Amino acid sequence: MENYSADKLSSIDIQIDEEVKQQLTETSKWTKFISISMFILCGIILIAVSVGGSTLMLFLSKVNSPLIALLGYSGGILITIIAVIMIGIAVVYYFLYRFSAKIKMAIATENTLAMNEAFSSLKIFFIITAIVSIITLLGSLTSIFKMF
Amino acid sequence: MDYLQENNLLKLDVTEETKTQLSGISQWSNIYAIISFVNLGLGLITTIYSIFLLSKFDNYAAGISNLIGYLFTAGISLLLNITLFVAAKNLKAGIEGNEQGQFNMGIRKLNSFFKITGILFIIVLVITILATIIGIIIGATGMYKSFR
Repeated sequence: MENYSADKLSSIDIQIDEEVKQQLTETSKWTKFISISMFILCGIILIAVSVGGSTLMLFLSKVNSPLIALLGYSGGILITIIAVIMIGIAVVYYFLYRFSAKIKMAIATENTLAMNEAFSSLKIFFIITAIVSIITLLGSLTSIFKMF
Repeated sequence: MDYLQENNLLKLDVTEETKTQLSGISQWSNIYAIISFVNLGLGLITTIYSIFLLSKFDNYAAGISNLIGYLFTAGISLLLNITLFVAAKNLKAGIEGNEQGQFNMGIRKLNSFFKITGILFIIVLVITILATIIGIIIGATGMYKSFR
């Protein structure tokens, strides 16, 4: 009997209880706010770069930097790079937005499939941010080795 | 509807798929937090080195301002990454050991991580808007004075 009870207790799985639902609902609101803010920021930078691109290139042509010389004064390579980075950031935050929308829907409709899709999106978001931070770390290490 | 309820489809369940996704979130957020800690350490090395270089030119004020700037950003970053690290650890322990308490703690800390990030976004947004308004006012005042 005791063994049976112990077996039954050990087979109790974790659950999405009311506290978890409340926490996830709150997380959904914050992640929605963060992702939308990032979309707006990326949009503003994209517009600023495309509108003020020529002014930016004129300013950069006066800056004596080997990087700028490498990129070329007149070319729009730098503008293209900024645009690609902004689109990349927007794509990363799309996954956070997707998590926000899916988890909200999953809790409202008690849909396990939607919840799994939400967690999958959050996982992708963390994978990309972790890979980007690894690249940043390698960049920092390279510059430190050059410094010494 | 009866079919959905009878087959337990209208209930948020932690399935094997959910556990896999949550394990992935835990693993990658852990990696991200650890790399951020390493990045903070590298930042400390470069800050100390810059203070050492600036002291050679008797520029102690710039060195101290560098240090204050680093300590401020490092403090915020440390708070964020410790929260994420604790979230990852608790999520992992909760899923692997079927511990509801630790699982709830993991979700709570994940919520805290996004909440802190969201609040930081708001602070940065307010500072940016204020700086823009102050810039416009200073610019407009300068233009008005030059016209008079």
